[in-house]
Amino acid sequence: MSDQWTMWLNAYVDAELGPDRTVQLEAHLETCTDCRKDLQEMLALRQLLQSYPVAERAGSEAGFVRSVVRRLPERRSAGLLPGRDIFRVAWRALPFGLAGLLAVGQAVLTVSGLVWLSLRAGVLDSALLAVFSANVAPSSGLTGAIGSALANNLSDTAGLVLGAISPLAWIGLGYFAALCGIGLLYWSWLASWWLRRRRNHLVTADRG
Amino acid sequence: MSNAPALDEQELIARTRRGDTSAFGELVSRHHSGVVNVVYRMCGDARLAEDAAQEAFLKAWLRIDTYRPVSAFRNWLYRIAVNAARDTLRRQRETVRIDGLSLQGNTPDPAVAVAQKERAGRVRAAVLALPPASREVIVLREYQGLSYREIADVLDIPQGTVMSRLNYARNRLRDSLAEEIITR
Repeated sequence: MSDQWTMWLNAYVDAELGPDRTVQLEAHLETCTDCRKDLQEMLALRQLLQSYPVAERAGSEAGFVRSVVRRLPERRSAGLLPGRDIFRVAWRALPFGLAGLLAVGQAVLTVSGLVWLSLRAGVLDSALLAVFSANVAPSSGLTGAIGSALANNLSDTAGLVLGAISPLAWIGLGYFAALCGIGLLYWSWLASWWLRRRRNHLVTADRG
Repeated sequence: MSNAPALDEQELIARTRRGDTSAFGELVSRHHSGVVNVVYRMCGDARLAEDAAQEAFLKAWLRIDTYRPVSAFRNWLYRIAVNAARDTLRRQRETVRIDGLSLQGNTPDPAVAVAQKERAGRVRAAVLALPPASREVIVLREYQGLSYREIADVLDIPQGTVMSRLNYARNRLRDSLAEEIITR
């Protein structure tokens, strides 16, 4: 007798077998003495198991209910999260937080890379100068000569700072480190999620 | 509790969420027999089962906000009860007693009563000898009458796992109770 028939017999006894399979199994039972014997034993076992008595209570049902109600602890007020709940929420939010961090990091690095490349190419110098002369200087009451000098200083300083720290190298290195960190965090989250699930559901699983 | 006898279960749950202890008492009253018996058949000791069932209801009270009506309240309670039984088994692993069994109901013939008691003792010993994961499934199926889908829901496992654990448990029980089955 194959494992499939055994599984189907179990489902048949429990009235969980679909109609098509029931027809197949009943046809099979007419020809297979092993399966018929198996079915009889399963039914006998079911009957036998009913002789395991229900729990005999020490007290009455009302006494049990009273005892439970008397012991009910104070429940937290709605809206306030106790420590364990905060941890659980934080735990579930962690992967989304990591993904968000990656997106923000990526955006910052992309923008700063573009700024640096523009400064290198000299595009941003003239743009900064034009924007500063047109908007910032008049509104702050600065006159043309002072405004132009400030704008020149600003773009020169930005270029100097960015140039001094070898931006491409730093950006690449920082990006790589951020990716490694986020990847490590994400994988450790996945590993601990898997371990928790395994502990909850599979560690207790027996060979059946 | 007598002041809310005819209320719908969802209404009782809603009241419990708002902190109504009498509504919760009514829920306990409705489900305590099932919960006590799940735990009792898991751990084999009526006194421990009562204690563990009380713990299960106290946890249900504290966690009522986490219950979602997508599954039956009974199944949600059974899940808590199974966990309470697991905790009890972990604490009392070596102290599960097989003696002191008593049967409900009256059997007039003493010889029949003794035979019944002995058979019940062997059945209980066989059920308690199953690995916990198989025992949970057989208890929920044979004694609480849950469907495969409901068992999967209570234990948070796939239905295929329910079927394989049931198959394993029944094979083990048929082996250990072979004499009983043949003589019936």
